Amino acid sequence: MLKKIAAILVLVAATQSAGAWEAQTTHAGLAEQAALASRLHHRLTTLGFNGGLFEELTIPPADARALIEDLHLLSPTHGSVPDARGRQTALAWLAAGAALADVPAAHGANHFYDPTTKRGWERPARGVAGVLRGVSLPERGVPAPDWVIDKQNPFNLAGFLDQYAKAVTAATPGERSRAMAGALIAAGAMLHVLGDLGAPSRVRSDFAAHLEPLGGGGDDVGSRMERIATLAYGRLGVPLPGRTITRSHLRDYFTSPDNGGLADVIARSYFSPNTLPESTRVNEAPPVLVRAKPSLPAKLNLMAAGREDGTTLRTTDGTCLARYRIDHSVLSWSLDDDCMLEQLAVIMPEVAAYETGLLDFLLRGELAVAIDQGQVTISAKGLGAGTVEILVEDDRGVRTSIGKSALAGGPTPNDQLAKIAMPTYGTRVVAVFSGADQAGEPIVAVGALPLTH
Amino acid sequence: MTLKPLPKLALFAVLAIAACVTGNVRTAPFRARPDSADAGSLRGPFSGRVVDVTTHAPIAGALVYAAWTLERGSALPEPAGAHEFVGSTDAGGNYRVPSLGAIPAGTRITEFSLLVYKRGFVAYRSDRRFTDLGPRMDFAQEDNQVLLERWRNELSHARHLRFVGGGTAVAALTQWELADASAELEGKRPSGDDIRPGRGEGPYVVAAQLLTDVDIKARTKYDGQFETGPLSDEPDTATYSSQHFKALGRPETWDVAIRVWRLDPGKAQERYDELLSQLPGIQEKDEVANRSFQAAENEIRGVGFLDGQRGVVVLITCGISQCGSVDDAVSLEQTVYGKLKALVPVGLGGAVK
Repeated sequence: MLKKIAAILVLVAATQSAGAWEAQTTHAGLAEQAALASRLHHRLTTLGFNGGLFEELTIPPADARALIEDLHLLSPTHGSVPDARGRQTALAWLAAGAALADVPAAHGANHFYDPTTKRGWERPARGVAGVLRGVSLPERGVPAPDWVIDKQNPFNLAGFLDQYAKAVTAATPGERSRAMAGALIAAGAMLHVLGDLGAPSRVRSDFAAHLEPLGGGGDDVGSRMERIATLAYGRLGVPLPGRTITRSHLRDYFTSPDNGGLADVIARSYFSPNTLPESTRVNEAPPVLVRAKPSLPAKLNLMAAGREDGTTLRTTDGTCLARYRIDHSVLSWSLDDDCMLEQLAVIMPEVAAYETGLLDFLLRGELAVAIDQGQVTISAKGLGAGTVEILVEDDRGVRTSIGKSALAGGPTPNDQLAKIAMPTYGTRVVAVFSGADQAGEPIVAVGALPLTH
Repeated sequence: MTLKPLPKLALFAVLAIAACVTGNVRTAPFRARPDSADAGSLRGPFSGRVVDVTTHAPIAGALVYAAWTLERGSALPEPAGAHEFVGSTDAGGNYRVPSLGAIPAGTRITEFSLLVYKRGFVAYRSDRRFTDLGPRMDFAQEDNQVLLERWRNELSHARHLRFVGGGTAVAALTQWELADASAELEGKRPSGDDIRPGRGEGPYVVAAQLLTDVDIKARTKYDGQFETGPLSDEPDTATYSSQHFKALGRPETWDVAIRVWRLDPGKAQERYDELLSQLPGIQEKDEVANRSFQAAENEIRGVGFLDGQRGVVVLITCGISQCGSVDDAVSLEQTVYGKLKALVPVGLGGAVK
């Protein structure tokens, strides 16, 4: 399999771009896999979007001209450009958000985070002018964990929560459809920002790795590893997540005090092209590491390294970590395409696992709606202070608020948040909580119950 | 930044391909011809033939959707739009996609993809295989051969919809799969396994293949846009399909719709007679096929015909703003009949079993 893909790489080298995991293919594919593995389908059907991931949602072009214009920058072949009426499936809206996170291009600079320096993108001091005449790159970027909550980010957490709540509370089906599409765009874009931290160069301050010539002309530069991911997996071949990562805080998906964020894991597990051990003379000094991790074994195979092709440093599970070779008594290190391809086979499912976890985190809030002795009760675990609103949906699909109350947080009997007399009409009761969870994280929790009169 | 050694062959390929780059078009990841080692051109033109993987019979009337992806910027690139081409295969299963013309300054062509879709078959993509979603290695710019595999009940509609991707024309044709895809995610098998068009033997035909927005605009000179998709009044089945051309931003009198029944000859006759008894203001004309009629109600014109040999009944409705005269409607009817004859040659088992 790997050899086959390596052959593809040889055939098609220099045919794709790679400013990041490629937005319309790799990122869109990651978002789709996250959606399929997450609770999104179930949540959509619960809220009345009966087709779930394949429910068609509409953002009328007249309501969001700039967004629709941006969406038409994407290629329809990858399935995330709405039709002339502004309609496409929920799954496609999520993928569209993942593709739009790189629009405008400067936003791509906000998809870096080095857990060692706690900083994001910084324009490389040297080389840029020589490599990219006339190309202007941002001086600095907002670190990725901050960007997802940054007010300048059009697809930030606050935007997601706002649209997600409206997807429940808006009066008409059309308004709710539009809001849910908006929420999914924001969610997709956040998945993109997280997923980018699966690239070692993005979490090891290796900005120069994103200026490698890709062969498509003088201004066609990017990350070789990310381009290989595009070639190997595209949108459709992105692997399924092997598991779902669970965290209590949004930021912890990116980086956490216990070093369990995606950036932490990738930064300590892999080298990037310009953070390999420095070349040293054999027998004079041990290899010098730019970063403490990944560490080198106590003994390198110097005999094998002396062969013309050198040898390979592998992880305990056998994945290529780097190549090393001795030439004229100098021990040098490298990452070739095949080695990066092996790493991607391990990294991509992990990225998918983090993205699935983040999507489930965004949708984690769930309210239990029940009817007991003529009363509608709303209950939930793990919520803090906020507001709960109850609405009834009539047979035309129009929702009307029938109660709203502020909650101070803290424990309540039977986890009950609200209670209200059962409405005398309607086909469904829905409830939405907006506030914080017990960990202090912003949350929108939702629930629904069909009515039978 | 230090230079890292690359495998010699890969380095050679990178350098060689970079040297071949012309202007703002990347090197194509496919061959010029099936028997060629030369890289093709992302610009095109593209040509090929679509056949049934089992019978190797040509597949006429398959949707051919091509898209060129554009990009701009360096290091932090962004999408810069796309160009689309929509066509269909001819009676011999052949397709041809013309070269892409000029592209906006500052952009480059980064990708070309071709989709072939025919109801009742698994779609074909030039970049990926459906079976394992792995990269397709056998696509060629010219003289390409597309082998379409018949749809099987055990295949996943959710996977197929992801695979097919988008584009308005494609979405309209694949909309019928949405419910089944959703049902799969609910853990339910799709119901009515045999109700979908394309399940029987012989050549397949659905309404979207018989009348397109291009056909309508060519006749009526309408300069607006249509939203297309199946009519909502009756779901598509193995024997019935429809296509609604909803004029965007215009009253219903600008809309056009086509309904197609494909039955055995006896039932087709019965269906035609039912239409004669149901439709208002109906007059038999016998202008098209075996029998035909014209009808009218308020601001809607109706025309229809029976093709007894093929077991096909067609009804076209057209608002008076779009079809200013009954001649417009009849012209569309004749266009549809012409396509039907090309898609379903007599004697090739036209009726659905």
